[in-house]
Amino acid sequence: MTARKEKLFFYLIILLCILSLGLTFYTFVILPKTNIALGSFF
Amino acid sequence: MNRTERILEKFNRRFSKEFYIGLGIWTISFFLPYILLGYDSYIRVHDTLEGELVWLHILKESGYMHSLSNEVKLSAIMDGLPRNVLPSGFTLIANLCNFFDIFYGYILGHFIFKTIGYVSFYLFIKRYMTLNYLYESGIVFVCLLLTSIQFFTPFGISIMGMPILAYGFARLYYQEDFGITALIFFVFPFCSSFVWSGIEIIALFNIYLIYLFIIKHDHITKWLAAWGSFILGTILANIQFIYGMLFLEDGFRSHRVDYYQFNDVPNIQASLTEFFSFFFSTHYHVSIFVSTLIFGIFILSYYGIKKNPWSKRIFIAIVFIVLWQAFYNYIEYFTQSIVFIKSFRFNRFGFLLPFLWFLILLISLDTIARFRLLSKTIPLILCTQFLILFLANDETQHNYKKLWGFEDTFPSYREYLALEQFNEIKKIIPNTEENKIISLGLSPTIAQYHDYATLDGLFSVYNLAYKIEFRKIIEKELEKNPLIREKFDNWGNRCYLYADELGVENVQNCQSSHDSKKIYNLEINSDQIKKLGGRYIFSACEVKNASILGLQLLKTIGSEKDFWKIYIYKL
Repeated sequence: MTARKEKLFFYLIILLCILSLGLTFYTFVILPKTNIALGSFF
Repeated sequence: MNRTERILEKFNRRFSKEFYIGLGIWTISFFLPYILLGYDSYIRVHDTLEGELVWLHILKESGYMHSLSNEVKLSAIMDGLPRNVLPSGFTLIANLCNFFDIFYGYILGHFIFKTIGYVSFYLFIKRYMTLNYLYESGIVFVCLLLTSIQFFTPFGISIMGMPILAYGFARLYYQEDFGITALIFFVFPFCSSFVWSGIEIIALFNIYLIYLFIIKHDHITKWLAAWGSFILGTILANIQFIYGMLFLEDGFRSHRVDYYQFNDVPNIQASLTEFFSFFFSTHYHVSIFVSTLIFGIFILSYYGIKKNPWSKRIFIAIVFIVLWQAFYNYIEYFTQSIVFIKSFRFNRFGFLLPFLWFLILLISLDTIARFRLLSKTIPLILCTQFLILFLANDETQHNYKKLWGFEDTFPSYREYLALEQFNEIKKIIPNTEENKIISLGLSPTIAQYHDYATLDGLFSVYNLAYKIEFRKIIEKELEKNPLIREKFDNWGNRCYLYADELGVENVQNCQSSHDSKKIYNLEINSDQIKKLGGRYIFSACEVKNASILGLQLLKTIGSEKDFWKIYIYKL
């Protein structure tokens, strides 16, 4: 793996982490109707 | 060297310092909210406080937990619910709840099941996986992630036990000492759910045995013996259910034979939606959002760095399980006449997914760990995955919210089961069998928990004839609301006093006092309630037309500050 590709992957992984955490945060903290206890979160 | 020292040395060889630190972190973080909050901690409502857990309480109080007879009926429930349609009394969780009360039994069971997952996952990785680059603390962290997923304790180790089952299969594959392997397969059913994993494991086991016998022509004696151990364990652990299913008296016909899940022919769009939903979020019974980040990491490491054949195989297995789930409605649709398939629902292979996703995560992290810069992202990946699972796990989320003093509208154990209010209610209405209750806007399990006889209830199996009789009570309300009608007529596990004005938005139909709802035009058949033996209604909201229905408001218990404000009506 080239240094350039490694750097690209490094940033891609960070982006993935931010996106997936953001999606979870949006679903369970921001969306008012999300209610996992009732099994109806979508 | 004495025996104790030898055992300690063996343990130290097998488990690292990081493993013990991980175990300590898991234990403290798990028990902390429950110790500090006690009955004020949150325990999941769905399928737990609203169902399975209180069933165990009913069995404990009735004294029929371990009864085998098909003649035994719980006369306080509906028209006399046969004991053998309720969960087995020989599983670990049932006995924990039988020995302690359901609150402590639940917490202990939760801890034991997740600890089994943690320890067995670690053992499986160390013994059967080759991870040359991933450091020890990373491995332990992944094992800890397994303990973070949302998980339904009443279903035992159906999900958490996958590493130990995989450990058993690996032992079989490598022809290791059979005694321990047989023990694993025999004990597993006593700690798991027959419906959620037992049937599916047997199905997969059978398919593999056929493969060994016909295609691989392998020596299968030990595989057959392990299969026998699992079958024997399953039969013994679920003897009441199996005996009930096969030999329950002629007059009993399960309401499940009347299931009808389709108002329309299954379509490809619905299946594709189900596919993506199930792929990225899995199922709320199994865990939520376990796959989103891992899928991305897998794609990057597999296509961008190194193609590991194992992660590919596991990924194909995941896709196959998700496809099966997404398109299972076609199978169900075309086999509607086969009651066995309709009743059992063979689409529950999702319990395998969290373990499979974590295996992919481990392999992907091992690939990433080869490179100096990329390896620096491993702590970030693990912490992000932990936060995702933490946020998606209602129990940890609400408990820690309560612990840190954040506003949390979700009821605690004490609030949901209305422990204080029922001390007062019992003074007004003794919980005798003659005083049959029906609940409106609050789950019937609350009255059942306080040992009241109830006309309604949430049960996975009850008498179809009773459902038809019960329907007469809510006939007019069902006519008003197609959604509720569909829910009750086509499924009906929740045999509740539905009201159109309350709707079915909250599946449980539970109105806490925070909602301050009032019902203005309730149309229920009071005579039918009386005919079935009902004497009182416990309602979570005021019924404005009570007098027209012949209901007399006896008292209101609780205030706006409480989770429930309960209106007691006499018929």
